[in-house]
Amino acid sequence: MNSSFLLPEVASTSAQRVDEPFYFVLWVALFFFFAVMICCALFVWRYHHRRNKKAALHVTHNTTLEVIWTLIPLALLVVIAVMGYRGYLDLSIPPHNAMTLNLTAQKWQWTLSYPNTSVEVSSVLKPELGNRRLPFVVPVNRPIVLVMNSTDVLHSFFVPAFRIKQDVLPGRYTKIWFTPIKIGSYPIKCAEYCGTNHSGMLAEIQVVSEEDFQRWLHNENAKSIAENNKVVPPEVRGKRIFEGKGACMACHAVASKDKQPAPEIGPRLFQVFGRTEQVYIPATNTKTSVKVDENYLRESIEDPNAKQVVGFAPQMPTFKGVLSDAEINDLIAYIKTLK
Amino acid sequence: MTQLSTHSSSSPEPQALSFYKAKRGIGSWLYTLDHKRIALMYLFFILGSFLLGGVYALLIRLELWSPGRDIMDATTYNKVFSTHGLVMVFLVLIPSIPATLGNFLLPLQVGAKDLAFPRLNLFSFYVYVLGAIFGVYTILSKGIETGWTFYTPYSTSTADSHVVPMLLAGFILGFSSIFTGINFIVTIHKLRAPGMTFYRMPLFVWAMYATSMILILATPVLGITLLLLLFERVWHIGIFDPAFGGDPILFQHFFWFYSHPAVYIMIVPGFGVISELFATFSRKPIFGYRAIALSSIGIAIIGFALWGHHMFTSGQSPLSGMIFSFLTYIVAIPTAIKVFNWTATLYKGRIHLDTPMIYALSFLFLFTIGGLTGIFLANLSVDLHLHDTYFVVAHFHYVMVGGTLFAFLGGIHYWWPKMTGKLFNITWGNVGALLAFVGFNLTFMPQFILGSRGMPRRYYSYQEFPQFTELHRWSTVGAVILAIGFFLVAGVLIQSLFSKKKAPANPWEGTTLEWQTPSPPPVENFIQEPFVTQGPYERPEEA
Repeated sequence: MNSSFLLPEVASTSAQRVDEPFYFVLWVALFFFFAVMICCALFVWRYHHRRNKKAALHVTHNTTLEVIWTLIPLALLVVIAVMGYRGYLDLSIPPHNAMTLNLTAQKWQWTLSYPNTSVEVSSVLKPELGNRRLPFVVPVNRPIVLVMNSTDVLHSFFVPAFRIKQDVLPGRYTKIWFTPIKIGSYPIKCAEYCGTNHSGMLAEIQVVSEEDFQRWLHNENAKSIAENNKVVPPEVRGKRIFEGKGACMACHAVASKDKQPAPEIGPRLFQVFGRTEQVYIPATNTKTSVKVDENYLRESIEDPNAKQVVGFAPQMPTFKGVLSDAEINDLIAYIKTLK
Repeated sequence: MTQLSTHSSSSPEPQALSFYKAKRGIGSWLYTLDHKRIALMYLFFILGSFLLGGVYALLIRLELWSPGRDIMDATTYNKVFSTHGLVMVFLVLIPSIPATLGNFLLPLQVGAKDLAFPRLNLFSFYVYVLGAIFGVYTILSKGIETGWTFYTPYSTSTADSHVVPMLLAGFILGFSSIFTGINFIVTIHKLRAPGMTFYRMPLFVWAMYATSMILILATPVLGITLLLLLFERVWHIGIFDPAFGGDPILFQHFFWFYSHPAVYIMIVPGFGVISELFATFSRKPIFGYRAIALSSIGIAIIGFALWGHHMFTSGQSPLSGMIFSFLTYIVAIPTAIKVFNWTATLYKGRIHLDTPMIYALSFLFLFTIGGLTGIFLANLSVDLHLHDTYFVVAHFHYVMVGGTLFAFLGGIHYWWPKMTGKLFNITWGNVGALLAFVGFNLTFMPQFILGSRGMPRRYYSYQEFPQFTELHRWSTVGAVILAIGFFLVAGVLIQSLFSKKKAPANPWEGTTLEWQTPSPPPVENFIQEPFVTQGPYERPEEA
């Protein structure tokens, strides 16, 4: 179904569970709104003091009327509540045969991984793709359940076209399921405020036919395995960490401004190696300049707030204990290639 | 009309000195024990806070004019919306009607000389000022960008906010609320004039009673929650942040356990004002007095049990969700009854469309929309789509601004002659009200549509969704019109202060006790203690 005036297009079986009560409530609300407002307008006009010279002071009660306008709304609200329950319970319990995928949220990207494969897709905008992101590919007409976790703060996974939303928590797993019914691409939005780039934490879900999905998964898996098995130079390993586990791409752009426009949350790393940066040192409350070399890069990753580049907020988390020494070496090798 | 014992004429003795003239000098204000002066000092600060919060609102709407950056970067925007929320909720809406109209009118409406504890009243004012200072300090220093809801672990870990002083501000402000609540409850129990039984109290007094119940019982929970959040952020005690073994959903439960009743603190006083306005400006007793009185108490009590409707997507159990949804629908019933009763009051009345009544009718229109859109959000399935979208933003602005603020303005205009002894220009007052009404609807009606179409809230940019631009622009234009309306309203009221004409004791033909004493009242409120023999809205038949 296409989008209506009020609601986006319908692309999942869940949508009906939401749209039905939505429109029912809309009609009930419009009815009561107009009933009250029309009475008001009529009374104000008819009983305006220029038209009505004497108020009927005794009209202060009507038990029958009061009982009716208590019980009818009560009955309607009970019906509405129960409509909500049925949909909600349905949406909370994934079907047995659902395909399980793992979703990780972190400031400010989503990563979807496909179990039993090496396929992992992240939602960052890639300059080499013309500043676009890779989609999360899923098959049509098959129930899919996402097991979700955050590595830092609360996020929320929201797909308007599917009418689904669920908070993603650190320290716990939450689940959400859907069955896509329409081939196409649909936006994923973060719906729990998570800081500077909350409005940029977007992804795309692409629903394809079952054969296209199998083909895509097989190819991606083969590509991924080949990548993992290849003896790759440190720069290539570093790029994977940069775009994946490290989530560096969420804040640091790597290409020139025209190739990769970005919100500049962290300093742009394009041509950063060898550059001289102005930094603020909180420990001594002084400003100085540093030349960006291997040591400075390592310090920035392990103790990012020791020296803060002037003009940027000190919000980079530390990766000490998150990335191994070897991984940091690989990252440094990759950053050196950003010319 | 509730009668004074020996006087049957409606004009009281002219020699009573107004409370303004009784004592002079700045010290007589700063150290006053007169509830009327305290109310006016609160009004000054609350209006100042409203101006601050309003400027921040305009900044939000200006930034959202285009999909990308307009006038500020993302972190600044996040500070702006967080500050707007904190200032409006804690410095404006929560104190608004109780601290200004409640403080001024409650003793007058029950026929008393002052509140039960005048010193506590002054103290609660200074506690409010102290809390406000901590808040303003935070805003002027690093600022705060956690959202007014402080969800963890973002609020315990962000380096971009000065969280601790803002938490202290909230903690301190809470005491102001609690002391006011205690003062009101004791006053209503102990200081009613002879003959004023509970069912002869004006509905505004019933509303103050219900609100005070919530102020006293809910606010301590907020205080404790903010303190625990402070301990988590500073000492990592491991209660709300999973990194230290805590539970972020626990924070949400604690926070909303206060913050849901808080919205009833904000709206129930508004209901009280609206009842007074409908009765006076229909020249008729309110329809269904007992239902309205007891429904306020009912809302106050039931309102403690439904906080989880803010958390349907949080990860709480589905059973909890179902119970919270059900109770949210239950609390809608006493609210709907009030709306029907106010409408029925108009029936066969003698209606006067003076400025306070324009606000009352606007309230009916706007609050009904706000309340009905709550029915969407209370529905478990529908909320999965609408939660954290602009639909929620539109809903709560309809009830908080269209509801509380319009009721507040209606009350300010209604009791303006009593408080200041001046009459404002009714025609221009009506123009201001209508301009605000139009501007408000233009600002927030498009936001329902933005929300249901999938625009999330707290979004700095919508660059990848330029199709939302048109609705955002209508909303921004509406905000500018709303601002102009409010400035006109302020202008009309300020202009009245310079007029030489004196307001009579009862310019609106009201029936409650405050209209039986001069405008403005003397320090002791009544020359002689009133004696009450009938209901608050009884009036003699017209000739």
